[in-house]
Amino acid sequence: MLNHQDIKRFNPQRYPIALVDRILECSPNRHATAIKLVTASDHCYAEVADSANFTAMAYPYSLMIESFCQAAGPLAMQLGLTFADQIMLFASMGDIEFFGSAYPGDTMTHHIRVTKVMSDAVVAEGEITVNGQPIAKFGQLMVVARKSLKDE
Amino acid sequence: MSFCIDRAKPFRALDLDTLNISPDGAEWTLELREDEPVFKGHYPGNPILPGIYQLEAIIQGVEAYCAKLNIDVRLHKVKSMRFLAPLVPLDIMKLALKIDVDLFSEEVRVNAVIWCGAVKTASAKLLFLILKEELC
Repeated sequence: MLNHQDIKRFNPQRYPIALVDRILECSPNRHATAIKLVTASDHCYAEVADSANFTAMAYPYSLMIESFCQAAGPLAMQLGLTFADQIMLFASMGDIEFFGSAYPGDTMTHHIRVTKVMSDAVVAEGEITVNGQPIAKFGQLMVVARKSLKDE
Repeated sequence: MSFCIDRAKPFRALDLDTLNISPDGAEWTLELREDEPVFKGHYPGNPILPGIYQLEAIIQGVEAYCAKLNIDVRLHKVKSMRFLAPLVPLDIMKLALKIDVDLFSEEVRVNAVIWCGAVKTASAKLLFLILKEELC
């Protein structure tokens, strides 16, 4: 298991966009399970009006995708992707489908499968569940490692 | 906006002053402020706009477009999205959305392109579902 501080040794993202709380398992057969707890104090809720409907607190789908990809980071590094002195950037995504939502108090469980690893890129797929029910499916996500833009 | 449900936004990605809504879509520009909170963490000392924020901007634009039509939508599918160039503080994004509202099938199909100057930074094909009014 990797706690949040452990994850920071692998992933370069930091607050307010460090979106993985714990890696529960990281298997050499390219599977990983991770969690992100949704809380009302998440940065994304800072602008929600007091008068807004409860559904305004649905965790943004864009951040769900980001959280899922970050959860794949430690597994990808264990499988050969190198991030040293580099940054992670999205290259592409596709075949993503959303079935439900997550709200404060929910635990999003990421079920990740890495389908391809290269020295500078990783491709992953999987699902997010809440209370065992799938709320999102990811057909293909590709992240690449690049030199810091400041060095260019 | 009409009866649309307020969304929780990681950041406000719509510049209403530049928003131009036409019968088949929407366009607007958005300057990326240096003090945008996400740049502190993505990445420390090397600020780059997260790719998913480009997706979030498209989502907000579609919601604003549909709000003008008094319909509420939810993102259902990201059919494809490609990230072609990074965006950094002080870049000016130009978003161009082609939006096809199909009331019969209760779907909204979107083709989006994002530019920074002459450089295309992202393109996307998305599918939204039209929500029933009783949710509001």
